Amino acid sequence: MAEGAIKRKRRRHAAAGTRIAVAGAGTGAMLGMVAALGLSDRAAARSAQAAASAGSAPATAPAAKAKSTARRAADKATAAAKAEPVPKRTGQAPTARSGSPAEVATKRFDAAGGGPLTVIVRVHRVERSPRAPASGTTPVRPPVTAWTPRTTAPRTAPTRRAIPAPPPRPSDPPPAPVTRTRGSR
Amino acid sequence: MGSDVELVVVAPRPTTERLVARAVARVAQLEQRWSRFIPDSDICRLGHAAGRPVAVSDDTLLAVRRVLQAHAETGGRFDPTVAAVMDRLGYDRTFAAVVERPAARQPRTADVAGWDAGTPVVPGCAGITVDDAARTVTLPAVVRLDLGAVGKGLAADIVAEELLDAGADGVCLNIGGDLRVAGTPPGGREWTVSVECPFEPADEVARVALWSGGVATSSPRAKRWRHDGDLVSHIVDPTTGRPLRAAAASVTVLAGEAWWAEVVATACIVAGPAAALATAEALGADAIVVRRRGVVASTPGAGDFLRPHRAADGSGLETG
Repeated sequence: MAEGAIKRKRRRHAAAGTRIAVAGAGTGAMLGMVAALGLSDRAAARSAQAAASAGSAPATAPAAKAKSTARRAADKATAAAKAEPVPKRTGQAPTARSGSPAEVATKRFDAAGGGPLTVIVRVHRVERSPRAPASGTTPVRPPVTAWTPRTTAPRTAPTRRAIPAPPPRPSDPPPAPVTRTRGSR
Repeated sequence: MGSDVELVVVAPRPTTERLVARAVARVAQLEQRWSRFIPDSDICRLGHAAGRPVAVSDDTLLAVRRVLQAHAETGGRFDPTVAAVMDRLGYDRTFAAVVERPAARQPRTADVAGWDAGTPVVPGCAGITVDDAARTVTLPAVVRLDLGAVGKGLAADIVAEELLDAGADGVCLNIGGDLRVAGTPPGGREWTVSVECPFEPADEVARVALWSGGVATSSPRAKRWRHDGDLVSHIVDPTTGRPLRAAAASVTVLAGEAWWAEVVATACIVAGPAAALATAEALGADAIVVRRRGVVASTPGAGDFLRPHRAADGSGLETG
């Protein structure tokens, strides 16, 4: 829904004193725009961005309370963003399910177990950065895109088909192989 | 399994070492149970039982059920009863010992009874029974099993799933080129696997990215040795009982689980270069075939997995 259409819809509903709702993808951003109407352009943009980042704005809002709702959403988004440093989007190993840091271990060994255990390599260790954002700055959130990385894989793979990884984004670097397949030797 | 094993575990920090140690021990245990070169393995005991039921481990019960399923679904192109032919071809010991054996001590084709007399040398799976209640397997007296075309993949499946159950977030277990990936990959994006060129191991012919599944490659070029003056491979055509001759250079299969990928890869190789892709699709998997002159072809579904890969001359990345 275009911003102009949202404005027109909002004006109609505000005149009638009814509630409005915008559903579907990008709800937070839409509500941010809707709720910020009547503020200055700069304040509206800031509010929209905050609501979009938080993704937690209410699904409906009384038109008469739009301005205060927008401010509360913006405050909530800012507080949440400050409290939780944002991990890098790429090149970042996952955090373990338990919330403790994850690590990746690689090992090569002989299938019989008695051969030389040749390599143990710690590839990397991942911890959340303890550093808080500098005062007065707004943490940078990753851009909202249609592609969202999954955080947990399905445990039961179908017998027949492998599950392909999501297609890479244009900005992604070429993936480095984790391992290689070949005829058994 | 006569192979190197490569294991990647993504796990909470305190548990990683324990998980790695568990995987090493478990792979060794499966090797002990399934090898046809270890006299007290389940597979050897079955082969020497002369038709009597043999109590075996749960792992072996599962393996036998899997090979019966694979034999049925591939129409016999995958056949685990080729062990006798392997022995007669000289592959009756670890492969390292086979290639080191002096030529004068190699068996000759004339010694392989049945080839020229019309006797079926690959008996097939008829008569093999699994008793789940008694936890026994019974083979007909003339049958011996060879898990060589399923064991590595099945071991990768079993151990990978056990590691996930034990607390790993992600696992990649590669046994001799047949591998299973499951759970969260390093970086959280994808498990990327390089497909080795069958002509030049330093090169890759493709690169695939999975979220979950198995990848296996079958190539008659991987294990070859001299037999009666001929260079023979470890892949036998069950319909003739002879080593494959006109085969693709390699077939790489992507499937939901590694054991099935390995079975389908073998079936594709046996089917021949012209029928390999159709065979993979008929069995519900995707495949990348390298033909003998180096031409690479793949099923339409394989396109979902392909990523840019390094060109053969190392000059850059190629797509598809």
